Amino acid sequence: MTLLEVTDLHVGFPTPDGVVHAVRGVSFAVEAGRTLAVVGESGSGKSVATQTVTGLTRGAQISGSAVFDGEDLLTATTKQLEAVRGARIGMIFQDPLTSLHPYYTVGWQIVEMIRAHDRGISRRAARRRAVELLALVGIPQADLRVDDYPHQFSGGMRQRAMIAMSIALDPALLIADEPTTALDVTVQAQIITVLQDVQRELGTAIILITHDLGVVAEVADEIVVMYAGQVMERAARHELFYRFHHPYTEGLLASLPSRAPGRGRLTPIPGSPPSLITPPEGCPFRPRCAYAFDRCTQTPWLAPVFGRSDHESACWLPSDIASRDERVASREARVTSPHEQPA
Amino acid sequence: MSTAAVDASGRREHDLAAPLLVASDVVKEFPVGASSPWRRSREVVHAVSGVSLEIRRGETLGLVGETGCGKSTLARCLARLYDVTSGSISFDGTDITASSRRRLRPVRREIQMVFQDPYGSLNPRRRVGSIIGDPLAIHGDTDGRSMSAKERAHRVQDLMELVGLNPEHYNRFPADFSGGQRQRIGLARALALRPRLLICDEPVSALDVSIQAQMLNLLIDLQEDLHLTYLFITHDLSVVRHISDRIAVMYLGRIVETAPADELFEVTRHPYSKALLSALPVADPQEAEARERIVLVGDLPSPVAPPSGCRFHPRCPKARHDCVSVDPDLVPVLDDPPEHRAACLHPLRVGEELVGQVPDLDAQDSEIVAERVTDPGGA
Repeated sequence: MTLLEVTDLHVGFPTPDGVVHAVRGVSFAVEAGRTLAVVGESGSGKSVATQTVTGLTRGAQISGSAVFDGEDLLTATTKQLEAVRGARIGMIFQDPLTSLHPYYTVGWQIVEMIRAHDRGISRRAARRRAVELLALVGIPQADLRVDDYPHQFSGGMRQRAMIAMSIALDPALLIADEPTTALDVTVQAQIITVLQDVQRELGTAIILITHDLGVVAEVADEIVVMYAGQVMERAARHELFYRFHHPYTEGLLASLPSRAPGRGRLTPIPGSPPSLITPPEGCPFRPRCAYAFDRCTQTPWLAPVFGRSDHESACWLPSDIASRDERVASREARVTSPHEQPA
Repeated sequence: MSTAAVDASGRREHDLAAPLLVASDVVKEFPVGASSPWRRSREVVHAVSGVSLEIRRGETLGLVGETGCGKSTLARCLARLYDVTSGSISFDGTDITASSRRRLRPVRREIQMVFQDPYGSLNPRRRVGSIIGDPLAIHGDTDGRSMSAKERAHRVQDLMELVGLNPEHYNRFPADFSGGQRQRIGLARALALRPRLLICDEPVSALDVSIQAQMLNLLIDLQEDLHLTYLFITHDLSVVRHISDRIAVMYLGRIVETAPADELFEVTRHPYSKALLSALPVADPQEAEARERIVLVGDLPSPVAPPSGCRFHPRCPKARHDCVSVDPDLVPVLDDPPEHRAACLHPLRVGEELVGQVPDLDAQDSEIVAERVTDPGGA
């Protein structure tokens, strides 16, 4: 069952220098109980896309649709959104210190969150629920720690508390925006385990926004790779890691230190991402792409590759090219691809 | 002794085999809370507790550890940005532990730092050219002669080119640059005085992977071209393996293991190093599914009251009763070569796994630990 379907989402932010086109025609869907990873570098629009869905980008120029459970969130009123946000869609943010209020105890904040959505529940029952939730995410001595202030928690514990808060109302969807980025690797491993446990026990769908392909390799069911406000490639996890099509995906994977064994130089993507005030004509990755040819001045669209409907890539290279050598060869041959006819 | 450090040609002949920097038994403690002449603070944060290490000429020493383990404090002690509580530091054969500001001046040119935060480490109100030129304005040219503004501008533009920035952007402000470019600005500033030791404190942690790889390549190239020695601090073991000759793993103010880079990955002795390695995310789904990850229980203990004995024992899956009382020395274990040292009473053998091991302390303690082990599963 499709829980959330985002179609042709465009988000622009007016600035004194012009409109920043942060998201430019993004579509993706999340299935109930599954994990969708949205991967991309800073400024790729991955956070903006999901924040827009939950109505967190004020003052932006938005078009497209985001249907959650039969309701278009982009046209919903503030009241309708408030009923969904927090209750049906939980959210976890990158920085667990700034997302918790320093002035109130952790327990108070969870209780407030529960009672804001459910007036009927007593303070006492809400507190009991808060303790249960903290225990569920692995906070030791939850019945005591519930009265601690955020500063008394370590970074990892704060992120656990955030997860506890976000799942308090048993949401169908959890949006986790870089939940492990600010944490040490050992703590990161703990948080990933907690998220997986939550998904297994509560059947929550997760949108995991991250730039860390290592985390993605462990938890994602499906992966969307974003660049310059557009989706470059979409595939199931194994498919994306072992048979990627888009040169940007190749570049991302190649630049990872963990993918290049031993010592010595790495293979970065040359250059830097384009300005989104005046995005380049055609494929946004063209200026940094090793395989670009004349066709790339036209904007490619997401089309199936390797003959699979669940693997799409926005690239003019022939749809069956999987290796670096093939890419180089095809560039030299200047072939035009079967993308010719829109699907 | 300090005059010897100024003499550029003389010192290079001065025993090339000797390490560039030697720290022995460095201790750094910070008092906790407000202290006034009337109210003495009793508690101290034991940030660095007896660290000895040497950095050899031309090598890259990777220093790895979690947040709060004292790795940045140690780096700042080594650069003499902090005064040490006890212990000694010598640079190029000169003891700099207690040198005065004036005596430190020539040493400052030799040891420079690159910081983690590309936003916080550059003054937003100053132009990039003057930021990079600052060390030259303070210390003058390589021979100590003060430089004219024009000379400085030339040198700054050379430096910008060296680190891959457009020299024409000399007059721009830090806000005009991306995170990766800012980090290059910080690097250019650190290189301005042609230092011999560059301390890089998490220089790539704040950067995106593709930019991170560019920066690491730049550091590797510069090391070759300028014969630099690096102390490279990071929490990311996959990064450190690429750039380091040797790696030192730090835990709660102590170095728990030190070894040549590949050896540390292949023959891991200390359970903490092993846990750190296993927590590393690998961008390969099959590998990620196949391996068993050691999820360490709990958090780093408070450095105000570090655990007795081996500081890792409360979280160690392999802890035994003697770990509670005996503080192990950093020595070669299990017939390891002298350059591979571990501070562990029960080091791991090759092929031995940590997954499934249960700590065996004395009866009273084992209950507590067993309870903690089941905890993070989130039952």
